[in-house]
Amino acid sequence: MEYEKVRILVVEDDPQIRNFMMYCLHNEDFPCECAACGKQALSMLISEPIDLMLLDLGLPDMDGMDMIRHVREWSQLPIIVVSARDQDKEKAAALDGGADDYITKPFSAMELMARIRAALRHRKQDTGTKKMSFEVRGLKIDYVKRIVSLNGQAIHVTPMEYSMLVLLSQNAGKVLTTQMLLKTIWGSSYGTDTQALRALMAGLRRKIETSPADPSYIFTEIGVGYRMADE
Amino acid sequence: MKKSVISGLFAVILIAGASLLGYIFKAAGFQDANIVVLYILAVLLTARFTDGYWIGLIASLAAAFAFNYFFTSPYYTFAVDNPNYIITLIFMTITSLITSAITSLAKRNEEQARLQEAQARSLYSLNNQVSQAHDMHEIAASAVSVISQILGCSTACLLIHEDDCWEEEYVQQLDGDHLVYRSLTARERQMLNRCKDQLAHTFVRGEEFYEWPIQGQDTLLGILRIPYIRAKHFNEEEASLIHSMSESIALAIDRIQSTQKRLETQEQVEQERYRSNLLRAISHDLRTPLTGIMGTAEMVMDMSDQKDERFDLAQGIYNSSQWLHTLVENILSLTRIQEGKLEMHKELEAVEEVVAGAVEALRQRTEACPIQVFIPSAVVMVPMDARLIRQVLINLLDNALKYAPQGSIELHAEVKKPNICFTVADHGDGIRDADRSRLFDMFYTKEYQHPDAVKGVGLGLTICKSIVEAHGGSIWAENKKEGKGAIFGFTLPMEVSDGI
Repeated sequence: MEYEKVRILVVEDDPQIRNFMMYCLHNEDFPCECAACGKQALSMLISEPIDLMLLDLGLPDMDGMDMIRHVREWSQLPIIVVSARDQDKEKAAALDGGADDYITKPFSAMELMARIRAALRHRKQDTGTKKMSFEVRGLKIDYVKRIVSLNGQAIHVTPMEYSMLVLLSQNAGKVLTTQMLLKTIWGSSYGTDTQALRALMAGLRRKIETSPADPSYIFTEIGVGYRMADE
Repeated sequence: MKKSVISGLFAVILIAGASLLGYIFKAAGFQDANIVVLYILAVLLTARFTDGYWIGLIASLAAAFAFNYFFTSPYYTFAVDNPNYIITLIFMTITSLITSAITSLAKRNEEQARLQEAQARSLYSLNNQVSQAHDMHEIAASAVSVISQILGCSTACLLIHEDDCWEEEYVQQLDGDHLVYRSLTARERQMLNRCKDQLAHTFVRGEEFYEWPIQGQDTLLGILRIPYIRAKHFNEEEASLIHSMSESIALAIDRIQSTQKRLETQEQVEQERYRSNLLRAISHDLRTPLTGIMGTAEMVMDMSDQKDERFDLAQGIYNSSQWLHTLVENILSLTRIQEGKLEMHKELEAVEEVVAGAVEALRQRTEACPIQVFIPSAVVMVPMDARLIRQVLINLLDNALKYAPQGSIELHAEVKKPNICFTVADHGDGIRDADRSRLFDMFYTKEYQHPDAVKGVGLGLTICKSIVEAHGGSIWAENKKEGKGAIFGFTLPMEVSDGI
């Protein structure tokens, strides 16, 4: 297994859910540790070699958001937030605050493992050398030649669409919030005009997707942002 | 009448006094000039202490005649033999006339100034009192007592409710310091309703009162009722005083009303916040144990062999909790819709994104029964709360999957200006006529159950209806005209309309 050496820290105060997550991870041969509160988690992050953290936002001793900010001050390890709060604003806030992904309770083992794999793949990309191109399901983005092609056929995209594709593909598998996309593509002065973003996405979808209402490359996370397929 | 008699008497006494002193002066051998000055003084005092020009004028002439009668030869006649005295008499008359006129004028000015001061003082005291009032009725009461005092009559004040109709009772100041509340008679009410438009510009003459409008920024706030007998004799100053007073009353009422409105909004926001906190807590507390149950069931399923009894049991637990989860989500959506409209986040959303979100959510269950999606080729943006509309689509698709598990499901989105129309069509048995009318009612399920004993308290469609209607759209269900199957459809307006 290629992720064999990855150690995962599960931070969750509910023993039932903790057991379930630990079980799933053991099943997939991930060595893992667990913590029931924020303080314990922080001390483990310092003393143990941890590669990924599953973090429940509702911890008894500290706010999950503070925890993310705190960890981000000195570590770039992938953080997947697990929360029972199903609020778009909180999701977006956690992602903007530095979390890599977000999963809402209740979730299935399959969903959890998919998110973990995506986060790990992403981490590998970050640590590896800069990629020359990106390819998923027949969609290829050549960063050097600045060419986008679908099943070998070159597609014409506008410069803005291209930078959107680059941004999404470099973070494939990860949800990028509306706010973050607006800020990166349009610049901070653009404010919160999500209309422009939606229109750009709709145009892009018509160029690369066979069926815009059943996309295979760019997925919409309603109320939060967009995510590009990564496998 | 009485007053002018007293004034006349006063003038007579003064002139008689002057004549008496004149005799003494004459006996003492003083010159006539002193006596003339004495008479002018008498005229001046008369003008000063009596009202009106007339008494002064008469006093001037009387003084001249008295001087002529008593002190010019031939004595005790009005004849004059020395021409010097004729000149003296003429100048004495002119001087006393001018003196009396100037004195009267000065006196009148002084009176006017005093009146204006009193009015300003009462306006100030009115402002002072109404600005300290806590509600509209306190304002009315203090206005009535201040105005009654300045006008010296029993004024009253009638206010208008915020829903634009007259209040039942009006407050009136009676003699002394006590206020009474009198109820408005049906006749008065009729009259006032008829005159409402007229009151926006000017006062209206009623039976018992003159009705002076209290005109706020946008609407009529109430009326000041001045008794007919008093208002009949209003002069210009009094009318303008009442006008400025009604303006300051209006200002105070406007202020109270806007404060009240602000407090109400604040309270509403507070409640809304409380409710959303409660919802969040409930949803959190329900999801956490559900995660535990579903996860553990999944674990047990994973550990046991598929032929094992325990696998089926765990699967049962898993399915039930999955169903419970859907129910929780639906109930939460329903509370969001029914309790507070502030929870709706309507924004322009791309239809394809919302449809994709719904199809994606059901992906795991659609392997046996694929969903075919048809959407307009152009980008369609519709104002909606994307999460709620996605929930509607999920519920409709879920329904189709439940009741018509065979064959494919078609999801159409079509623009039918000014609406967008979504339909979900299945290949099941269709809807029975008995069910059709009550499908969207709360807690209604199909009377006869499917062989699989499909679960459901029927909340799904109720929620769909609430959500769609909260967006200003409509929802319906019908059977296919050709072939087997049911069609569920709903429309959403494509333009933002007010009040939704």
